Amino acid sequence: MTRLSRAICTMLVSATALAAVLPASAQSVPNAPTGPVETQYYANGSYATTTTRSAAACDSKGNQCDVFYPSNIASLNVRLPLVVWANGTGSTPDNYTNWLKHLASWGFVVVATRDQQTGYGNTVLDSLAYMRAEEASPSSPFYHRIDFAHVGAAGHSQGASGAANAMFHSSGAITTTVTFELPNQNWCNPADNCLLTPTLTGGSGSIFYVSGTADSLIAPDTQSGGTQLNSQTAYYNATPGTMLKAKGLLKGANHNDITGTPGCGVLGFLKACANGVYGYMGFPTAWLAWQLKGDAVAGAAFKNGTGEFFTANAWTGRVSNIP
Amino acid sequence: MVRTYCIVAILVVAAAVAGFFAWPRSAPVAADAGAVVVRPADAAPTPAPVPMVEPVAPAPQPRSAVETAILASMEDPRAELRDVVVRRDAPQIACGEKRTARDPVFRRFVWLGHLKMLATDDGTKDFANIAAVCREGQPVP
Repeated sequence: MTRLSRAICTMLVSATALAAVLPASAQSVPNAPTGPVETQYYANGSYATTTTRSAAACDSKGNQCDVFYPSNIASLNVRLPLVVWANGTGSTPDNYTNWLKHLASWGFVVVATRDQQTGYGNTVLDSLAYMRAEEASPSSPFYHRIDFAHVGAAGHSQGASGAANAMFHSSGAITTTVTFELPNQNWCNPADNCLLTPTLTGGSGSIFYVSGTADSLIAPDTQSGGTQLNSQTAYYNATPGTMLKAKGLLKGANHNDITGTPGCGVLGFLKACANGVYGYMGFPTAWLAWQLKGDAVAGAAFKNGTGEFFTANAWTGRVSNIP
Repeated sequence: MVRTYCIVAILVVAAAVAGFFAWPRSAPVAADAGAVVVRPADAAPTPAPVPMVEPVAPAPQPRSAVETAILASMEDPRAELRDVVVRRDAPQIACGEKRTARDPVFRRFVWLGHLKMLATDDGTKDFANIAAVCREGQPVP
């Protein structure tokens, strides 16, 4: 019995060690990266990360904020770009820790309100204001460590609306947004708790619409008609041509795969997670690295029709206006 | 002799006790002013008595957990639901009609409870596609 236990233990340790050593891209994961840019940003960045929670409320609704950032932020000689995150309906940052830590490992400071109704974007802007106060406080780990000239937003589901609304109502403070599973306007509930057409058509900045082909009920690629924006293509087409914009759908990804850790686990069906977060780590991170950190190679991946994004195996429904 | 007095005393006490309990102490009795019948001047036939219709508020129906969740998601205290049907093979999905303070017309909705998402009928084929999820056996998103 002892020998058997030792053998099982040895097997488990070996398997764990192997999984840790092998790059995840070498394993069989859904939506694995194929090209160099996607592969680069699919992997975690070089920074170890730390997560803190605000001691008090950070937004006007009384929610605290979680902040994900490089652990050695105090010793860095550069200010880091900031990403403000918006949760989906009824969710908190706890549902997205894999994705948020992944961003932090690439040198982003990520602030996420724990608000569960972020569609209006107001609490997302509150979290930005909170980080401004932190950045000005000598007792804060973020004192003089954040580059407010490079602030982006990202969000999931209702939070995708919240991230976009935050950008469009930020008076230029937020310059880019990545939306994950931006719901059709017929899912707006209440009606203005979403990205409204006039807000979008009058907006500025840049935006990357990301959805999954298995999310056809909430965030489909196309629609049959009507005046509402009920598809990713409709949102993309309504986005002003003066904005840099891109759109793509992960093959087989459903509404909640962004919550993967990174996979969905054996109980993934309970939270409607099928493929996990794998496919979301490459190009969305590359977009933010291009827009907020100036990685031109990452930006070239989105070049209309010819960039790496357009040949990646995991993606479909791709379009961009990146020259 | 003494025995006779005792018997009489007992009877007196018993009568007093009986009278005490039998007397209608608390029932007020109106003075009898005589019967006065007031009739209308013309002898119209007396209509059959009609029960008075009081504006009685309907008894509040207990809300199901799914209705409570849907209403909570709408953040509208005046929102109403009707004809809510929960899919038997996927109880996280419910369909019915709703109206709100800002949109006071009952419109069809689809509720995905596991995602806490509510779609409203906008008259398009796209909503019809969404509403298909209300049918049993359809894939659950």
